[in-house]
Amino acid sequence: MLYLLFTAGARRYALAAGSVVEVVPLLRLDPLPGAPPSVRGLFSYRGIPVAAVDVSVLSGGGEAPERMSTRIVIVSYSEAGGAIRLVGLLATSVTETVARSGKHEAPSRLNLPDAPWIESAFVVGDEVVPCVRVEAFLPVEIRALVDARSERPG
Amino acid sequence: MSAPPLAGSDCWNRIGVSGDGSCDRLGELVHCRNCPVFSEGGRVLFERSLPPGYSAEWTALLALPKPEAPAGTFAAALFRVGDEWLALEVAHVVQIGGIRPVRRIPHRSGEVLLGLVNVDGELVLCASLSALLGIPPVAAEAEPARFLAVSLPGGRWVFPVQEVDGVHQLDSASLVPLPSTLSEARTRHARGLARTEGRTVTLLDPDRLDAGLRERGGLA
Repeated sequence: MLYLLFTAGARRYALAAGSVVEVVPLLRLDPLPGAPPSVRGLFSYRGIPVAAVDVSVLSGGGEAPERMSTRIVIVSYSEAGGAIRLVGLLATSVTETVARSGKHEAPSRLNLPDAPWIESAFVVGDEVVPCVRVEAFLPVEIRALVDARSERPG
Repeated sequence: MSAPPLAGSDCWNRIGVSGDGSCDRLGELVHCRNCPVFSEGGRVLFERSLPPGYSAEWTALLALPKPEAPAGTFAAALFRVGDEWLALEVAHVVQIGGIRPVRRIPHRSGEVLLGLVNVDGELVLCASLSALLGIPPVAAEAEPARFLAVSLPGGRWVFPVQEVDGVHQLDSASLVPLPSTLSEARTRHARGLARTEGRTVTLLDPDRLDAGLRERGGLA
């Protein structure tokens, strides 16, 4: 399987590439009044308003800097009801993918009650990188917002 | 011996493959692109600030509907052998590159099977499409300038071609059978004729091409 690496705060995370719809540069974001600080704003993805969630803010750091490597990872995930949702994860250092197969693919399944969004972990170079599950990664209040805003037409 | 490579410097231009090649690590890594210092140098490019207007341009682009290929068309790579334009479905094209040496295979190399070519460290059979399809070379033209590496149902092949004209969308409905006046060698390996941008191209059939190459190349 292929994983996309990104950085949130000081930590690197991996995301299964299968859930990634598109990786786009840092776009102009239209602020959403009253949204949590991690929601930097909305952007139009092919005519659909999608929320950009700054994962650096989510992980307790400051806003992601405006760099070429700061990108919006548009991911899709399915709700319990089967509906497909889109959300933009604004992350830094989105420059690398890693392929893992066989015994190196997610060797350690993790089950952390306090961090259900960490699914597993694997080794990249000399670092252990947690692999995240998007639907559990986003806090409930952001998911409620995302759900209301990113219905895919058709 | 040279100074050790420093992160943040452009050592590849001084002591690496673009420089005098005196770097100690080259013996082990062969090329700078295998070196972590080079990768790190590339990564620095991504740490730049956004150029003015960059965000605005992408914001406008992403707001547009995703461009989709029109229904009933397929993508094919166009290339020229002799003065004939040929096409092959793009899914079968592996790589297009500059000319590289062909190693002859003793007692095997002939008119159709030319020999072996190194493609990313893998030895791939190289065959002449002009010999297989009976396309005469253009007298005033030099040797083929490009290599086309393809993956056919039976395996990989490399063809020397005169030029490659990128990927075109061909309309499956407009495919016409080859006229019977053409040589049997041509009609046998083709699926039909297609027109694109005022040019008539012969669309090759991957299965029949593969079978023909094996037979004529003495591998069957």
